[in-house]
Amino acid sequence: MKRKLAIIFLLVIISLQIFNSFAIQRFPKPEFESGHTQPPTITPDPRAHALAILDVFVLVAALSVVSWLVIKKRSRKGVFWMSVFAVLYFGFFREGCVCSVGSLQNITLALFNPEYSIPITVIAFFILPLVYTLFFGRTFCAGVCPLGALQDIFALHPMPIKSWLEKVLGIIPFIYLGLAILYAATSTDFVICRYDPFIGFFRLDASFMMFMIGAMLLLIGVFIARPYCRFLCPYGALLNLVSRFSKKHITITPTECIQCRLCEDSCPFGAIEKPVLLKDKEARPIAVRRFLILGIIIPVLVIVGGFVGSQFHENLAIVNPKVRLANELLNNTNYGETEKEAFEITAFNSAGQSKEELFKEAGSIIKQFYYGGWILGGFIGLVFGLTLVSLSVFKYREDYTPNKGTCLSCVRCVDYCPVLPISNDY
Amino acid sequence: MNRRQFISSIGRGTILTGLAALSGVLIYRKSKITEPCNFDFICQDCRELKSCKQPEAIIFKRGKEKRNSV
Repeated sequence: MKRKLAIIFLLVIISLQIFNSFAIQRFPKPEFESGHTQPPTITPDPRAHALAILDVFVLVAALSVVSWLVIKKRSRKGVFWMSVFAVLYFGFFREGCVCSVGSLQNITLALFNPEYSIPITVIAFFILPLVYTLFFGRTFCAGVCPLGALQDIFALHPMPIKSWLEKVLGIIPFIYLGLAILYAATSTDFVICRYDPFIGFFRLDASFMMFMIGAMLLLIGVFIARPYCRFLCPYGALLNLVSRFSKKHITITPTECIQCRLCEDSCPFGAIEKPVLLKDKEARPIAVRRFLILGIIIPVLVIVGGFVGSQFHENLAIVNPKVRLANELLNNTNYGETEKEAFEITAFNSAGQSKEELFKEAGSIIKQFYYGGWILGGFIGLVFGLTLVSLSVFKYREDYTPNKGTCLSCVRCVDYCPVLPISNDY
Repeated sequence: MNRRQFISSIGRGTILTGLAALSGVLIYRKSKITEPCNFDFICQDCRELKSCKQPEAIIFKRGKEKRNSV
């Protein structure tokens, strides 16, 4: 019932957004004699300084409240309503920008391009969820991230998926993370923002393609809970790594597990790990041999991955607008347009830069992609290798425990546990 | 503290140090960069004027000082 209420509430808020279209610009746009029309902006206007600071305070407050609800109160209801708040405030009110997921690109750009002045708000939005994750697990994913919260509200009939498939699909966020870093580091594009499936909902300006992708993900999310968070989100990949070291993490049982198995299938994200008995442990010589083989395989995967990545550097670089322009000029393809000169070429011709300078610049960018391709490929190889290791490592567990990396701290499993917390009332 | 907790606390410390260093580097670099003018070149009403190092702002501030001294 509360979920349906939340969805109706969200739809009402979305319909209220239509009033934005009546907004008047503070300063009139210049009019050009050439008849040039201003293209629509793809990002929201920058927020006022005070509002940007308020956003950071709201983020800290939201992270603190959700962490308290998860760790101390163990309240699913509380986390759910915080999700609704996150969708409304960080999603619709702030139009989803800047979000922690996209901020990792700003951080990368600031690291690789010293000329880029990164706003303090963006640094805060990147660092704070990581710090909270380091202490309390992925509470940011639980009820602060608007992208996750939106999907969580739509997770009406979640079904479990095979663990091998979960593991394989779980590699995708790391590949996406690597690609996003490569494109941000080379000042090419912010691919996470460009292909964010839900941002168009928050701003009500989604292109048809992105609207369809977002709607598809929400539809899939009804049955396979939070597909973007689990199988695409690059920031989630970072949080996954950091959360493994978290100091306090949600536990299914408040005291001692009685092995009742009620929680076994309660997690819609397949993040509950079953007990592993010592008798399941394989013989030591076999384990040693496997580790020796993996010790050889991982460096091989890194080198092969790096080599393959470097071979694709030209394909990766073509996304860069300067490389694309150089390519179009070199091949005289005019961006596929036949009737008139492409805008990009007209703009280049009127800018006064020579073709030689452009080609030199494009060559330098392609070289960056060559080295970036090596690193990206090596990183993907390493992820594959470490996934193999994680499948091979024997982990002794007595109780049903949430996987610290993949658990989104949604607190659903807690409601299945019949063990009551020890009370001091008696 | 068992072995697993020990490794976890070392990892946590390393990540925290890394995040602190990253924030420090980014804030330090930001302090070194001259902010671009973001108020339509209207120095008169710009709230960034006091710390702005743009040539236009420096000229404006000099003019303002002269006017005040007269």
